[in-house]
Parts: sequence; C-alpha cells; structure tokens
Amino acid sequence: MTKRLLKFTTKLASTSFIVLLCLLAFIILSSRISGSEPSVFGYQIKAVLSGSMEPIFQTGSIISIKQADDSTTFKKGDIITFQMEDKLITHRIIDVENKNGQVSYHTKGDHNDGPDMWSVPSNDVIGSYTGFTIPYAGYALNVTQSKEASALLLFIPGFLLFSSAVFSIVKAARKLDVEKA
Amino acid sequence: MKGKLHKGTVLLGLCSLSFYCGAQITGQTEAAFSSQAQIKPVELSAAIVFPDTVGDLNGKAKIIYSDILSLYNTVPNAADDASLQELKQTIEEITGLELTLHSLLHDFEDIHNELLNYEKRVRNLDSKTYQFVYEGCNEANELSKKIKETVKLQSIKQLHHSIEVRINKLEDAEKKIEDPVKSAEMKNTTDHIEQNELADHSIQSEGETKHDEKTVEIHN
Repeated sequence: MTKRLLKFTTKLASTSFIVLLCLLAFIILSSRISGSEPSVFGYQIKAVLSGSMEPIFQTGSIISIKQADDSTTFKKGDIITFQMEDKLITHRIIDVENKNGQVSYHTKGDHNDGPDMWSVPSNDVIGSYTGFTIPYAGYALNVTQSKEASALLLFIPGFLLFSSAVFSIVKAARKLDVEKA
Repeated sequence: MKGKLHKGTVLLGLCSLSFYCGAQITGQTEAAFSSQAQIKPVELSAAIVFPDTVGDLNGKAKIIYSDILSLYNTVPNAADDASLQELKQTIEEITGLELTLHSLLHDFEDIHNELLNYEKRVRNLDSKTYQFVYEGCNEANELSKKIKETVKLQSIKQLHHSIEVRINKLEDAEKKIEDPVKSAEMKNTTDHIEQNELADHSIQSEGETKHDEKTVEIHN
C-alpha cells in the first residue's frame, strides 16, 4: 500500500514537473513572439540587482510583481516597479501627485538617504511588489543571462536526454536480441 | 542501479531545462541608489522684465518728455514787419525744430510701446510680482497724454505754411519793384546802342568824302 502511494506520488510529481516545464516553455515562447515581458497569470518575476530596498528584499533575490490593471490607483507606501529610461526600478511611493487628472508618483528606496529626483508618471508603472521574495535566487538566475550559460543549460539537458534515449534504445535492442536468441 | 542512473539523468536534464526556463522568465529590476537625489532640482526662470529695466525706460521717457516740451516752447515766430531774410531764417529754424520734434516723439513712442509690450506679457502672470511694470506703464501713459495735449504739430505746420506764404508774397513784391527798373534800364541801354550806331554811320560817311577829296587831289 505504502509502495503504491509512493509510486503514485512520484508519478504525480514528475507529471506536474513536466506540465510545469511545458507551461514555462509556452510562456517563454508566447512572450518572445509578442515581444512583451514574460508573465505568469499577471505576475512577473524579477531579479533584484541592487540594494536600495533592503531589508525588504536583498540584492540578488527574486521578487514577484503584480502587473497593474489601473496604474493610477497606487497609494503612498506601495512598492512599485516602473520604467525609468531603459531600466526597471523598484522603489516605494512616498508621495502621490495628481495634476489635472495626471497621476505621478514620487519614490524613494528604503535604504536611500533621499527621495529619487524623478517623479514617475502613472503610465510608466509596470506593477507593484507582492511581498513574495526568494533571497539569492536572483544571483543564480543572473548567471544564466549570459549566452554561454544559456547554451550550456540547453546543451547539458539535451545531451543527457539524448544519452538517456540512446541508452534506452540500446537496452531495448539488446533485450530484443536476447529474446530472439 | 542502471535504472536509477537513467532516471537521475532524465531528472537532471529536466531540472536543467526548467532552470533555463525560469531564468528566461525572470526579468531584472534595480533598486537603485540615488543619493544624488538629495540635491533637489532648482527651477530657474528668468523674469520677463526687471524693475531696473522699467525704471530706466521711464527715466528716458521723462527726459524725452522734458526735451519735447522745451523744444516746443522755443518755436520761433516771425514778427509782422519781418524782412524776407528774417522770414527765411525763421522758416529754416522751424523746419529743423520740426525734424527734431518728430525724432523725439518717435523715440518716446518706442519707449512707450516697449512698456506696453511688457505690460501685455505680464498680464497673465502674478500681478503683485510685476506691479512695477503696471506702475511704469501708467507713468508713460500719463506722459504720452500730456504730450498729446501740449504739443500741437498742426499749429507748427500752420505757422510754417503762413511764413512760407509771407515769403512768397514778399518775393513777388520784390520782383514787381525790380521789374520797372529793369525795363527802364533796358530801354536806356537800347537807346544808347541806337545812338552809337548812328554816330558810327555818320563818321563812316565823312571818311568816304575825305577819301574822295584825296583822290581828286592826286588826279590834279
């Protein structure tokens, strides 16, 4: 009974794992095709590159961002991710400004001495921090951003799966030979 | 053992692939340090006009105004019994004065327009800040009004015209006086010429008879 349960659990886990992998592959492909940032059910995952928001999230951690449906509704104290020139920045709102219906936010990093010198128009806000963070995972993921690492990560599993397939075929062929003999 | 290795290999491959996929899904964000933000941007905007500028313009306008008045008060007037020479001198003075007056009025107009332009530009701005512009403009308006009330260019023109008429009349009168004298002189001259011609003729005829006499004497 225990063995069966264990077998069932293992199968369920491996199936879920494969389904998850397929889902990830699908998300990556669709985001590549549409040219947008990859997101899972309205959430984006970001690796934190610097530490102005410590101790809320550490440098090198990954955080999840909930994409904004209405970017004008954020309040003072919310942590938002916004586009600034060619960078994405995640800081806390310290003031909300509403000029003739045009909402803009004044932001500041928790670990910074002073507020940011810019004000963020609501159009540039991508989403808000959900509170989910995994420390140090960003470092590992960051390594894979290089072309070499990406190639290696694709080559190793490819090689392993190919080897495994070859091994299975050889094994099956031998078994067939034995049976024939 | 072999089965476990095979399963391990597949698992490793899948893990590697999922890790790659995870890395592809993950974007990057910065929680940038921006200590330079302590220095707040300072908004600098130049004023449309400064009080000194308006003060200078008003000062110039006042100087021009007093020049115009003093010049206007010195417009010469010819006496009733003035000679032709005196009238001509007066008209020359009036012409010069008119030109100077026009130039001064033009300068005043320029300053006045400049002040009005400043007033127009600050109309939609903070009235308290630019109170000096309104005051300066009012001052120039007052001066302009006084100039219009005092300086009558038309009267100078009329004076000019009347002196011209007098000059013409005097010149005509002089011509009339000169003409009879000239005609008399002309008559005298013609008489004299005629007499001279007659005298010359008689001398010539006398000469001819003397010659005749001489020829007779030779023949004899």
